[in-house]
Amino acid sequence: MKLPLKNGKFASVLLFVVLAVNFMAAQAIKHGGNSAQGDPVPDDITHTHKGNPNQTLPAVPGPIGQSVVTGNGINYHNGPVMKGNPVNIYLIWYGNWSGTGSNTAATVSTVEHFVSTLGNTPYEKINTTYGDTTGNVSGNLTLAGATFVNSSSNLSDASLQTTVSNAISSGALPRDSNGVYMVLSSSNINETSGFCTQYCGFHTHATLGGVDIKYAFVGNPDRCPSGCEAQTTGPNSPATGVGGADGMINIITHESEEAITDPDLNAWFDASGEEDADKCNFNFGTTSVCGSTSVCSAAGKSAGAHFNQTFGGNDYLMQQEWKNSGGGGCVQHL
Amino acid sequence: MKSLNPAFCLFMMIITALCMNAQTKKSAPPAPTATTTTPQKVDDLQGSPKVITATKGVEQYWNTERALVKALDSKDKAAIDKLLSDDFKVWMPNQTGSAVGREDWLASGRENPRPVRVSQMAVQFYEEVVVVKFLGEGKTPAAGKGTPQQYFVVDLWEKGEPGWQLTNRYMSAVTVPAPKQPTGKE
Repeated sequence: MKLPLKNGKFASVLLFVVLAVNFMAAQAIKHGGNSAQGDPVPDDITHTHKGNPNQTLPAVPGPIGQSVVTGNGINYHNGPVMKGNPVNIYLIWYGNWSGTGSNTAATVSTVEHFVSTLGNTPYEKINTTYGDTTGNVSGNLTLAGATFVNSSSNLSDASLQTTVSNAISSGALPRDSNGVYMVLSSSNINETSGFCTQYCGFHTHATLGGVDIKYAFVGNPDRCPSGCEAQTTGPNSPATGVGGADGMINIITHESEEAITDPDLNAWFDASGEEDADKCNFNFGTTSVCGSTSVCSAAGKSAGAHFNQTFGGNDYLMQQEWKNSGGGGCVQHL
Repeated sequence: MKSLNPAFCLFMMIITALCMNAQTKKSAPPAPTATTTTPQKVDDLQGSPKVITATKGVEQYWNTERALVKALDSKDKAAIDKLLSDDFKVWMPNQTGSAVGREDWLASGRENPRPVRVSQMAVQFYEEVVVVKFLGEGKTPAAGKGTPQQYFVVDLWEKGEPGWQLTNRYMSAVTVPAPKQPTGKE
Protein backbone atom coordinates (compact mmCIF):
# COMPACT_ATOMS: atom_id res chain seq x y z
CA MET A 1 0.00 0.00 0.00
CA LYS A 2 1.34 3.40 -0.89
CA LEU A 3 0.85 6.23 1.68
CA PRO A 4 -0.06 9.59 0.20
CA LEU A 5 3.14 11.67 0.64
CA LYS A 6 1.37 14.89 1.60
CA ASN A 7 -0.86 13.25 4.28
CA GLY A 8 2.17 11.55 5.79
CA LYS A 9 4.10 14.81 6.00
CA PHE A 10 1.16 16.62 7.59
CA ALA A 11 0.76 13.90 10.21
CA SER A 12 4.45 14.05 11.01
CA VAL A 13 4.43 17.81 11.42
CA LEU A 14 1.33 17.62 13.62
CA LEU A 15 2.95 14.95 15.76
CA PHE A 16 6.04 17.12 16.05
CA VAL A 17 4.02 20.13 17.22
CA VAL A 18 2.17 18.05 19.83
CA LEU A 19 5.40 16.59 21.17
CA ALA A 20 7.15 19.96 21.22
CA VAL A 21 4.36 21.55 23.25
CA ASN A 22 4.46 18.60 25.61
CA PHE A 23 8.20 18.94 26.00
CA MET A 24 8.00 22.61 26.90
CA ALA A 25 5.24 21.99 29.44
CA ALA A 26 7.35 19.29 31.04
CA GLN A 27 10.18 21.78 31.62
CA ALA A 28 7.85 23.94 33.74
CA ILE A 29 6.89 20.90 35.86
CA LYS A 30 10.57 20.12 36.43
CA HIS A 31 11.16 23.55 37.98
CA GLY A 32 8.40 23.11 40.58
CA GLY A 33 5.91 25.35 38.95
CA ASN A 34 7.54 28.45 40.39
CA SER A 35 8.68 31.08 38.02
CA ALA A 36 11.41 32.18 40.46
CA GLN A 37 13.90 29.46 39.69
CA GLY A 38 15.73 28.18 42.77
CA ASP A 39 13.20 29.71 45.18
CA PRO A 40 11.77 26.80 47.15
CA VAL A 41 9.32 28.93 49.16
CA PRO A 42 6.67 30.89 47.33
CA ASP A 43 7.13 34.63 47.74
CA ASP A 44 4.38 36.22 49.74
CA ILE A 45 4.64 39.82 50.82
CA THR A 46 2.51 39.11 53.90
CA HIS A 47 5.20 36.79 55.23
CA THR A 48 8.25 39.00 54.85
CA HIS A 49 11.11 38.95 57.33
CA LYS A 50 9.98 42.32 58.64
CA GLY A 51 6.46 41.14 59.31
CA ASN A 52 4.57 41.75 62.51
CA PRO A 53 5.24 38.75 64.76
CA ASN A 54 1.89 39.23 66.45
CA GLN A 55 -0.06 39.07 63.23
CA THR A 56 -1.99 35.82 62.88
CA LEU A 57 -2.47 34.88 59.27
CA PRO A 58 -4.10 31.80 57.80
CA ALA A 59 -1.66 28.97 57.36
CA VAL A 60 -0.23 28.78 53.87
CA PRO A 61 0.47 25.19 52.91
CA GLY A 62 3.52 24.66 50.77
CA PRO A 63 3.43 23.07 47.34
CA ILE A 64 3.18 19.30 47.11
CA GLY A 65 6.32 17.63 48.38
CA GLN A 66 7.39 20.65 50.42
CA SER A 67 6.85 20.94 54.18
CA VAL A 68 7.08 24.66 54.92
CA VAL A 69 3.95 26.05 56.57
CA THR A 70 3.99 29.72 57.46
CA GLY A 71 1.62 32.29 58.86
CA ASN A 72 1.72 31.09 62.46
CA GLY A 73 3.73 33.89 64.02
CA ILE A 74 7.13 32.48 63.11
CA ASN A 75 8.91 32.75 59.78
CA TYR A 76 11.00 30.48 57.58
CA HIS A 77 14.29 31.73 56.20
CA ASN A 78 15.20 28.91 53.79
CA GLY A 79 17.69 27.11 56.03
CA PRO A 80 17.60 23.42 57.00
CA VAL A 81 15.99 21.83 60.02
CA MET A 82 17.22 18.62 61.60
CA LYS A 83 15.08 15.78 60.30
CA GLY A 84 16.87 12.81 61.80
CA ASN A 85 14.65 10.08 63.19
CA PRO A 86 15.97 10.24 65.76
CA VAL A 87 18.20 13.29 66.18
CA ASN A 88 21.19 12.26 68.25
CA ILE A 89 21.88 14.15 71.46
CA TYR A 90 25.40 14.01 72.88
CA LEU A 91 26.13 15.28 76.37
CA ILE A 92 29.51 16.63 77.44
CA TRP A 93 29.60 16.91 81.22
CA TYR A 94 32.14 19.67 81.91
CA GLY A 95 33.56 20.63 85.27
CA ASN A 96 33.20 18.56 88.44
CA TRP A 97 30.20 16.25 88.40
CA SER A 98 31.38 14.21 91.35
CA GLY A 99 30.88 17.06 93.75
CA THR A 100 28.17 18.23 96.09
CA GLY A 101 24.77 19.87 95.89
CA SER A 102 23.47 19.28 92.39
CA ASN A 103 26.91 18.60 90.89
CA THR A 104 26.48 14.88 91.41
CA ALA A 105 25.95 11.54 89.71
CA ALA A 106 22.28 11.85 90.67
CA THR A 107 21.93 14.92 88.45
CA VAL A 108 23.75 13.15 85.64
CA SER A 109 21.41 10.20 85.94
CA THR A 110 18.26 12.37 86.06
CA VAL A 111 19.27 14.43 83.05
CA GLU A 112 20.36 11.46 80.96
CA HIS A 113 17.13 9.64 81.76
CA PHE A 114 15.20 12.73 80.70
CA VAL A 115 16.98 12.99 77.35
CA SER A 116 16.55 9.25 76.79
CA THR A 117 12.78 9.40 77.24
CA LEU A 118 11.96 12.78 75.66
CA GLY A 119 11.79 11.56 72.06
CA ASN A 120 8.33 11.02 70.54
CA THR A 121 6.55 12.46 73.59
CA PRO A 122 3.54 14.71 72.93
CA TYR A 123 5.76 17.62 73.97
CA GLU A 124 8.52 16.79 71.53
CA LYS A 125 5.94 16.33 68.78
CA ILE A 126 5.37 20.09 68.79
CA ASN A 127 8.58 20.25 66.77
CA THR A 128 6.98 18.25 63.95
CA THR A 129 5.13 21.39 62.91
CA TYR A 130 8.46 22.73 61.64
CA GLY A 131 10.13 21.65 58.45
CA ASP A 132 12.15 22.70 55.47
CA THR A 133 11.60 22.05 51.78
CA THR A 134 12.66 18.42 52.03
CA GLY A 135 10.72 17.32 55.09
CA ASN A 136 9.64 17.94 58.66
CA VAL A 137 11.24 17.47 62.02
CA SER A 138 10.55 13.92 63.21
CA GLY A 139 9.81 14.70 66.87
CA ASN A 140 12.17 11.91 67.84
CA LEU A 141 15.52 12.24 69.56
CA THR A 142 17.74 9.96 71.56
CA LEU A 143 20.68 10.09 73.94
CA ALA A 144 23.40 8.81 71.66
CA GLY A 145 26.45 9.34 73.82
CA ALA A 146 27.98 11.12 76.78
CA THR A 147 31.44 11.95 78.02
CA PHE A 148 33.01 13.77 80.93
CA VAL A 149 35.57 16.58 80.82
CA ASN A 150 36.94 17.12 84.30
CA SER A 151 38.14 20.68 84.61
CA SER A 152 38.12 23.64 86.97
CA SER A 153 38.67 26.20 84.18
CA ASN A 154 35.92 28.58 83.22
CA LEU A 155 34.60 28.39 79.69
CA SER A 156 34.55 31.08 77.04
CA ASP A 157 32.84 30.93 73.66
CA ALA A 158 36.17 29.93 72.14
CA SER A 159 37.01 27.23 74.66
CA LEU A 160 33.46 25.91 74.50
CA GLN A 161 33.89 25.26 70.79
CA THR A 162 37.28 23.69 71.49
CA THR A 163 35.69 21.41 74.09
CA VAL A 164 33.19 20.14 71.56
CA SER A 165 35.87 19.76 68.92
CA ASN A 166 38.15 17.83 71.28
CA ALA A 167 35.36 15.49 72.36
CA ILE A 168 34.89 14.55 68.72
CA SER A 169 38.51 14.45 67.58
CA SER A 170 39.51 12.34 70.59
CA GLY A 171 36.96 9.75 69.62
CA ALA A 172 34.94 10.15 72.79
CA LEU A 173 31.97 11.13 70.64
CA PRO A 174 31.37 10.58 66.92
CA ARG A 175 31.42 13.34 64.35
CA ASP A 176 27.73 13.51 63.54
CA SER A 177 25.95 16.07 61.41
CA ASN A 178 22.70 14.63 62.77
CA GLY A 179 23.80 15.37 66.32
CA VAL A 180 23.38 18.13 68.87
CA TYR A 181 26.29 18.34 71.29
CA MET A 182 25.36 19.87 74.64
CA VAL A 183 28.06 21.06 77.01
CA LEU A 184 26.67 20.92 80.55
CA SER A 185 28.79 22.76 83.12
CA SER A 186 28.80 22.22 86.87
CA SER A 187 27.86 25.17 89.07
CA ASN A 188 31.46 26.06 89.93
CA ILE A 189 32.12 26.79 86.24
CA ASN A 190 31.32 30.10 84.56
CA GLU A 191 30.90 30.79 80.85
CA THR A 192 32.49 34.17 80.70
CA SER A 193 30.58 35.56 77.72
CA GLY A 194 27.51 36.11 79.88
CA PHE A 195 26.20 33.05 81.72
CA CYS A 196 23.83 34.16 84.50
CA THR A 197 23.96 37.85 83.55
CA GLN A 198 22.81 37.60 79.97
CA TYR A 199 21.82 34.02 79.31
CA CYS A 200 21.08 30.65 80.87
CA GLY A 201 22.18 28.78 77.76
CA PHE A 202 22.67 29.16 74.05
CA HIS A 203 23.05 27.19 70.84
CA THR A 204 25.12 27.72 67.75
CA HIS A 205 27.02 25.75 65.14
CA ALA A 206 30.43 25.53 63.52
CA THR A 207 32.19 23.56 60.84
CA LEU A 208 34.44 21.14 62.69
CA GLY A 209 36.46 18.65 60.69
CA GLY A 210 34.47 19.55 57.61
CA VAL A 211 31.12 18.75 59.21
CA ASP A 212 28.42 21.21 60.29
CA ILE A 213 28.30 20.53 64.03
CA LYS A 214 25.43 21.87 66.11
CA TYR A 215 26.25 22.51 69.76
CA ALA A 216 24.83 24.18 72.84
CA PHE A 217 25.84 25.39 76.28
CA VAL A 218 23.70 24.75 79.37
CA GLY A 219 25.13 25.76 82.73
CA ASN A 220 24.00 24.37 86.07
CA PRO A 221 21.54 27.09 87.11
CA ASP A 222 22.25 26.52 90.79
CA ARG A 223 25.03 29.00 90.06
CA CYS A 224 22.33 31.70 89.68
CA PRO A 225 18.92 30.36 90.74
CA SER A 226 17.18 33.72 90.59
CA GLY A 227 18.26 34.19 86.99
CA CYS A 228 17.89 30.75 85.51
CA GLU A 229 15.60 28.61 87.68
CA ALA A 230 11.84 28.65 87.89
CA GLN A 231 12.01 27.12 91.37
CA THR A 232 14.85 26.23 93.72
CA THR A 233 13.34 22.83 94.55
CA GLY A 234 12.15 20.91 91.54
CA PRO A 235 10.08 17.77 91.09
CA ASN A 236 13.27 15.69 90.92
CA SER A 237 15.31 17.48 93.56
CA PRO A 238 17.17 15.11 95.90
CA ALA A 239 16.92 17.71 98.65
CA THR A 240 15.30 21.07 99.32
CA GLY A 241 17.03 23.87 97.48
CA VAL A 242 18.92 21.54 95.15
CA GLY A 243 17.13 22.41 91.94
CA GLY A 244 19.96 22.21 89.44
CA ALA A 245 18.87 19.06 87.63
CA ASP A 246 15.34 20.29 87.01
CA GLY A 247 16.64 23.73 86.07
CA MET A 248 19.03 22.22 83.55
CA ILE A 249 16.29 20.05 82.11
CA ASN A 250 14.22 23.14 81.33
CA ILE A 251 17.13 24.86 79.58
CA ILE A 252 18.14 21.66 77.76
CA THR A 253 14.60 21.49 76.42
CA HIS A 254 14.84 25.07 75.18
CA GLU A 255 18.19 24.62 73.46
CA SER A 256 17.41 21.25 71.90
CA GLU A 257 14.11 22.47 70.44
CA GLU A 258 15.89 25.38 68.82
CA ALA A 259 18.96 23.48 67.69
CA ILE A 260 16.59 21.14 65.84
CA THR A 261 14.33 23.76 64.27
CA ASP A 262 17.01 26.41 63.61
CA PRO A 263 20.34 24.56 63.61
CA ASP A 264 22.27 26.94 61.38
CA LEU A 265 20.53 30.07 62.66
CA ASN A 266 18.87 30.58 59.29
CA ALA A 267 15.64 28.54 59.39
CA TRP A 268 12.85 29.34 61.84
CA PHE A 269 12.62 32.61 63.80
CA ASP A 270 10.22 35.52 63.89
CA ALA A 271 10.63 39.14 62.86
CA SER A 272 12.23 39.92 66.23
CA GLY A 273 14.75 37.12 65.84
CA GLU A 274 13.01 34.89 68.39
CA GLU A 275 13.13 31.17 67.78
CA ASP A 276 10.38 28.74 68.77
CA ALA A 277 11.45 28.32 72.39
CA ASP A 278 12.45 32.00 72.83
CA LYS A 279 8.83 32.94 72.20
CA CYS A 280 7.81 30.96 75.30
CA ASN A 281 10.89 31.54 77.50
CA PHE A 282 10.08 30.77 81.15
CA ASN A 283 6.43 30.38 80.14
CA PHE A 284 5.19 27.13 81.70
CA GLY A 285 1.45 27.35 81.23
CA THR A 286 -0.77 25.43 83.62
CA THR A 287 1.17 23.51 86.24
CA SER A 288 0.42 20.97 88.93
CA VAL A 289 1.92 20.83 92.41
CA CYS A 290 3.83 17.79 93.59
CA GLY A 291 1.52 15.91 95.90
CA SER A 292 0.95 12.50 97.36
CA THR A 293 -0.17 11.01 94.04
CA SER A 294 2.52 12.52 91.83
CA VAL A 295 5.83 10.84 91.05
CA CYS A 296 7.90 13.77 92.31
CA SER A 297 10.76 13.20 94.73
CA ALA A 298 10.14 13.50 98.45
CA ALA A 299 11.87 16.89 98.48
CA GLY A 300 9.73 18.04 95.55
CA LYS A 301 6.57 16.98 97.34
CA SER A 302 7.52 18.59 100.63
CA ALA A 303 8.41 21.85 98.88
CA GLY A 304 5.28 21.85 96.76
CA ALA A 305 7.33 21.94 93.55
CA HIS A 306 5.50 22.56 90.30
CA PHE A 307 5.48 20.33 87.23
CA ASN A 308 3.67 20.23 83.89
CA GLN A 309 4.96 17.10 82.13
CA THR A 310 5.07 13.44 83.11
CA PHE A 311 6.87 10.80 81.06
CA GLY A 312 9.43 8.10 81.52
CA GLY A 313 8.33 7.71 85.13
CA ASN A 314 9.24 11.28 86.12
CA ASP A 315 7.57 14.64 86.53
CA TYR A 316 9.21 17.69 84.97
CA LEU A 317 8.66 21.44 84.75
CA MET A 318 9.41 22.44 81.16
CA GLN A 319 8.69 25.67 79.36
CA GLN A 320 6.09 25.61 76.62
CA GLU A 321 7.06 25.78 72.98
CA TRP A 322 5.65 27.73 70.06
CA LYS A 323 3.65 25.53 67.73
CA ASN A 324 3.80 26.29 64.02
CA SER A 325 0.17 25.48 63.30
CA GLY A 326 -3.33 26.70 64.02
CA GLY A 327 -2.23 30.31 64.15
CA GLY A 328 0.66 29.60 66.53
CA GLY A 329 0.95 29.88 70.31
CA CYS A 330 2.81 28.52 73.33
CA VAL A 331 1.66 24.97 74.08
CA GLN A 332 2.63 22.06 76.30
CA HIS A 333 1.95 19.40 73.70
CA LEU A 334 0.74 19.02 70.15
CA MET B 1 6.05 2.39 -0.60
CA LYS B 2 8.15 5.51 -0.30
CA SER B 3 9.85 5.65 3.19
CA LEU B 4 9.97 8.82 5.33
CA ASN B 5 13.21 10.76 5.60
CA PRO B 6 15.42 8.79 8.08
CA ALA B 7 16.83 12.00 9.60
CA PHE B 8 13.36 13.28 10.26
CA CYS B 9 12.41 10.00 11.93
CA LEU B 10 15.49 10.14 14.12
CA PHE B 11 14.61 13.70 15.12
CA MET B 12 11.10 12.65 16.06
CA MET B 13 12.41 9.78 18.16
CA ILE B 14 14.72 12.15 20.07
CA ILE B 15 11.87 14.58 20.76
CA THR B 16 9.67 11.74 21.94
CA ALA B 17 12.35 10.40 24.24
CA LEU B 18 12.94 13.84 25.78
CA CYS B 19 9.25 14.34 26.44
CA MET B 20 8.89 10.97 28.11
CA ASN B 21 11.94 11.65 30.28
CA ALA B 22 10.69 15.05 31.41
CA GLN B 23 7.26 13.83 32.32
CA THR B 24 8.16 10.72 34.28
CA LYS B 25 11.12 12.03 36.26
CA LYS B 26 9.81 14.00 39.24
CA SER B 27 12.41 16.41 40.49
CA ALA B 28 12.81 16.75 44.21
CA PRO B 29 12.44 20.31 45.45
CA PRO B 30 15.80 22.01 45.85
CA ALA B 31 17.31 21.17 49.22
CA PRO B 32 17.92 24.05 51.62
CA THR B 33 21.47 25.21 51.65
CA ALA B 34 23.44 24.28 54.75
CA THR B 35 25.44 27.17 56.02
CA THR B 36 29.13 26.81 56.63
CA THR B 37 30.41 29.01 59.38
CA THR B 38 33.55 31.04 58.88
CA PRO B 39 35.79 31.98 60.50
CA GLN B 40 36.32 28.85 62.60
CA LYS B 41 38.33 30.63 65.28
CA VAL B 42 36.09 32.44 67.72
CA ASP B 43 37.14 36.05 68.29
CA ASP B 44 37.51 36.39 72.06
CA LEU B 45 36.52 40.05 71.90
CA GLN B 46 33.37 39.40 69.87
CA GLY B 47 32.18 36.02 71.09
CA SER B 48 30.56 33.52 68.78
CA PRO B 49 27.31 34.15 66.95
CA LYS B 50 24.71 32.35 68.96
CA VAL B 51 21.06 32.40 69.98
CA ILE B 52 20.71 32.78 73.73
CA THR B 53 18.13 31.78 76.30
CA ALA B 54 17.73 35.04 78.16
CA THR B 55 17.83 35.01 81.95
CA LYS B 56 14.71 35.91 83.93
CA GLY B 57 16.39 39.19 84.84
CA VAL B 58 16.94 40.07 81.19
CA GLU B 59 13.33 39.22 80.38
CA GLN B 60 12.17 41.43 83.26
CA TYR B 61 14.32 44.45 82.52
CA TRP B 62 13.82 44.17 78.75
CA ASN B 63 10.16 44.87 79.48
CA THR B 64 10.99 47.54 82.09
CA GLU B 65 13.38 49.47 79.85
CA ARG B 66 10.92 49.37 76.98
CA ALA B 67 8.16 50.59 79.31
CA LEU B 68 10.45 53.46 80.32
CA VAL B 69 11.03 54.47 76.72
CA LYS B 70 7.31 54.36 76.07
CA ALA B 71 6.60 56.53 79.12
CA LEU B 72 9.26 59.07 78.12
CA ASP B 73 8.20 59.19 74.48
CA SER B 74 4.56 59.70 75.40
CA LYS B 75 5.43 62.09 78.26
CA ASP B 76 3.31 60.00 80.65
CA LYS B 77 4.08 61.82 83.92
CA ALA B 78 2.65 59.17 86.20
CA ALA B 79 4.65 56.39 84.55
CA ILE B 80 7.78 58.56 84.43
CA ASP B 81 7.51 59.42 88.12
CA LYS B 82 7.15 55.74 88.94
CA LEU B 83 10.24 54.68 86.97
CA LEU B 84 12.62 57.67 87.25
CA SER B 85 13.93 58.69 90.65
CA ASP B 86 13.76 62.36 91.67
CA ASP B 87 17.53 62.62 91.48
CA PHE B 88 17.87 60.77 88.16
CA LYS B 89 20.98 61.79 86.26
CA VAL B 90 22.39 61.07 82.80
CA TRP B 91 26.13 60.81 82.35
CA MET B 92 27.37 61.07 78.79
CA PRO B 93 30.45 62.46 77.08
CA ASN B 94 30.37 66.26 77.11
CA GLN B 95 32.75 69.17 77.38
CA THR B 96 32.64 69.58 81.17
CA GLY B 97 32.10 66.04 82.42
CA SER B 98 28.94 67.19 84.17
CA ALA B 99 25.86 65.08 84.64
CA VAL B 100 22.55 66.15 83.14
CA GLY B 101 19.80 66.37 85.77
CA ARG B 102 16.33 64.90 85.53
CA GLU B 103 14.46 68.04 84.59
CA ASP B 104 17.08 69.20 82.12
CA TRP B 105 17.09 65.79 80.45
CA LEU B 106 13.30 65.61 80.19
CA ALA B 107 13.20 69.13 78.78
CA SER B 108 16.00 68.54 76.30
CA GLY B 109 13.81 66.53 73.96
CA ARG B 110 16.64 64.05 73.39
CA GLU B 111 15.55 60.69 72.05
CA ASN B 112 15.74 57.97 74.70
CA PRO B 113 17.61 54.88 73.49
CA ARG B 114 15.36 51.87 73.02
CA PRO B 115 16.86 48.42 73.61
CA VAL B 116 16.63 46.54 70.34
CA ARG B 117 18.50 43.25 70.80
CA VAL B 118 17.97 41.12 73.89
CA SER B 119 21.28 39.43 73.15
CA GLN B 120 22.91 42.80 73.87
CA MET B 121 21.28 43.11 77.32
CA ALA B 122 22.83 41.86 80.54
CA VAL B 123 21.44 42.26 84.07
CA GLN B 124 23.35 41.93 87.32
CA PHE B 125 21.56 41.89 90.66
CA TYR B 126 23.14 43.21 93.82
CA GLU B 127 21.48 43.73 97.14
CA GLU B 128 20.53 47.36 96.67
CA VAL B 129 21.26 47.90 92.99
CA VAL B 130 20.45 46.28 89.67
CA VAL B 131 22.88 47.02 86.85
CA VAL B 132 21.43 46.79 83.35
CA LYS B 133 23.48 47.24 80.22
CA PHE B 134 22.14 47.22 76.69
CA LEU B 135 22.70 48.50 73.19
CA GLY B 136 20.06 51.08 72.53
CA GLU B 137 18.85 52.76 69.40
CA GLY B 138 17.69 56.33 69.19
CA LYS B 139 17.85 59.28 66.87
CA THR B 140 20.24 62.12 67.20
CA PRO B 141 18.59 65.44 66.44
CA ALA B 142 21.91 67.11 65.62
CA ALA B 143 22.27 65.13 62.40
CA GLY B 144 18.84 66.30 61.38
CA LYS B 145 15.56 64.57 60.76
CA GLY B 146 16.05 61.50 62.91
CA THR B 147 19.31 59.93 61.86
CA PRO B 148 19.53 56.53 63.64
CA GLN B 149 22.15 56.33 66.36
CA GLN B 150 23.27 53.49 68.59
CA TYR B 151 24.08 54.02 72.27
CA PHE B 152 25.89 51.82 74.76
CA VAL B 153 23.84 52.25 77.92
CA VAL B 154 24.46 51.22 81.54
CA ASP B 155 21.55 51.84 83.88
CA LEU B 156 21.56 51.67 87.68
CA TRP B 157 18.19 50.77 89.19
CA GLU B 158 17.75 51.23 92.95
CA LYS B 159 14.97 50.37 95.35
CA GLY B 160 12.85 53.45 95.96
CA GLU B 161 9.53 54.28 97.59
CA PRO B 162 7.33 53.35 94.63
CA GLY B 163 9.58 50.41 93.75
CA TRP B 164 12.71 49.99 91.65
CA GLN B 165 13.65 53.24 89.96
CA LEU B 166 16.32 54.35 87.51
CA THR B 167 18.76 56.61 89.33
CA ASN B 168 21.73 56.86 86.98
CA ARG B 169 22.19 56.30 83.27
CA TYR B 170 25.61 56.15 81.61
CA MET B 171 25.45 56.33 77.83
CA SER B 172 27.75 56.84 74.86
CA ALA B 173 27.09 57.02 71.15
CA VAL B 174 28.65 54.02 69.41
CA THR B 175 28.60 52.15 66.15
CA VAL B 176 28.33 48.39 66.52
CA PRO B 177 27.83 46.45 63.29
CA ALA B 178 25.10 43.85 63.45
CA PRO B 179 26.25 40.25 63.41
CA LYS B 180 25.64 38.47 60.14
CA GLN B 181 23.37 35.88 61.71
CA PRO B 182 20.58 36.40 64.22
CA THR B 183 21.76 36.26 67.81
CA GLY B 184 18.45 36.57 69.60
CA LYS B 185 15.83 39.25 69.70
CA GLU B 186 16.75 41.89 67.15
